[in-house]
Amino acid sequence: MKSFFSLKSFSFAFDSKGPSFFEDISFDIERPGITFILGKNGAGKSTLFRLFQGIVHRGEHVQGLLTLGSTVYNFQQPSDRQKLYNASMILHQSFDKMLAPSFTGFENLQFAQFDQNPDLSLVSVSHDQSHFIRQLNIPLDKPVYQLSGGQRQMLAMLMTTQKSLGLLLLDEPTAALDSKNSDYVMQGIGQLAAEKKISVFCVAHDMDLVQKYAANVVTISQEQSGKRVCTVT
Amino acid sequence: MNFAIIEQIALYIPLMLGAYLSISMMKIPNLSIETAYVFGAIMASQVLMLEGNVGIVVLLLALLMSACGGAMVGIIAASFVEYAKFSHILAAIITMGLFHGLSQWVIAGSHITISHFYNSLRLLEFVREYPELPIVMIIALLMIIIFYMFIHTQLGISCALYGDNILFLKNYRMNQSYVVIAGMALSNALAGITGYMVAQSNGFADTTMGVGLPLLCLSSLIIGKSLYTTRWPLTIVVPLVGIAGYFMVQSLLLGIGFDLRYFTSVQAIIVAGLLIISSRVSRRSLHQNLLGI
Repeated sequence: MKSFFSLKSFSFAFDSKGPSFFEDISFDIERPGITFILGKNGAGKSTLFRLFQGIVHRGEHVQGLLTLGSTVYNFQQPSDRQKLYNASMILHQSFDKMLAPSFTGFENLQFAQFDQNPDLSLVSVSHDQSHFIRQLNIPLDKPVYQLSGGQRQMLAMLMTTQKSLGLLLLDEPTAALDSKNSDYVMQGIGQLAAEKKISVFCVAHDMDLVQKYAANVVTISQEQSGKRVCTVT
Repeated sequence: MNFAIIEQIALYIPLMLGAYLSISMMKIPNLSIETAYVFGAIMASQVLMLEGNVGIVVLLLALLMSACGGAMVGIIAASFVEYAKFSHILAAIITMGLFHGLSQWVIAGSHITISHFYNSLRLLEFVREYPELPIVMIIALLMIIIFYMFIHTQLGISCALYGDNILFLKNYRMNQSYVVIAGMALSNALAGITGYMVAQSNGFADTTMGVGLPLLCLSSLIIGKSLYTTRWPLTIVVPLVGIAGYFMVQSLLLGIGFDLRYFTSVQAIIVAGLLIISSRVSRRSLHQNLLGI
């Protein structure tokens, strides 16, 4: 079966002269749907998410290949890391970072599609809603600050998928939600991932959620030597 | 009708539009607007001293030079913030130092008189007592139209998004440095244009002519925001109502015999008073006023 996400010979060190944090990690994701990343605090989930966006800080060393569909990104190439940055999106746990509170939901959805270098083209806000968005029942004509937490989170999730995207990273997307809204969000993410053919990775600590919605699980564990191992189930 | 006030308001409209863009929309404490105002006037003065040119050419060149001078200030101040990671205040102070010296070098001193050269604002003398009024009004109107169109473009809205949520642009993979530099360049270019018009109207340009300008901008924006509230965060009405209100207050005080040398104290009292009142209104109102001071 052809994988739609794969990581090959991936290594990372915070200091190029220091010990490796991740060493020679390879895995393939073959089942479509949400891939959950599990691991204890400090296992490296946030670091992995940062690297999956192509963000590497000065002095850090990273190598390996990441494949999204048919596109291969070489972590050692700055141009590939920039392409990966543009092809990926992260929905933060604090989802309000993703929203412009003074503007309406419709406006936010429109503004999330702006070009990398916004130009002088006039913007007319579209009030069209797909069947999927209508189902979510978010009052998009209201300013975002008037929406509930669940509605804002759903809106932020919709906004992250407005641009053509290869990889969506979710950092505990349901941490601030009750169980009803958690289901609401996770079902929405599943539908969006299938509809737009996006690889979705999700960090979550709620095992019920993992059992309910995981298509794949990547577990990051740390051996006694300090070496990190990724297991896909 | 008091044409003097109308002319005064029209002179400051470009500056207020610029201040609204950087201070209210982008929420940047743009102190470099004072430097841009002065440098715009200094740059324009170099064109205004050219002899033997056709009036319209001088006018257009002066507008271009003043806008470029102001934009240069904005680009450098914003580049310090975006690339050298300075705070906005520090960037404005360093930029002020840089351009203060540059201005002195350009005009070989701190003051230059242009009153004995051709007055480019007197191109259309319809009103005998106020010969500069028609051109000043046309420039102000032109700037209003351009600014109105700008705030409905992707770039204009991106400037507002930067002010509404500083992380928005980066989170959606937009080029934040480009937006901030472009926004600051336009904001300060508008300030430079007012600098040119004021210098031409007064007959001189001076390196200290911008003292107190940030307070004028803040006072006007706060007056505008107090008098006009709207759901749509991008409005051109706030800076226009603000500057009109500012000069009307000034005119009223003048009418009752107030010495305008002490007007900055009144400004400070107005600013503090309106901010205290607005901090006591409900949370929802504060949200509605999220964009703008």
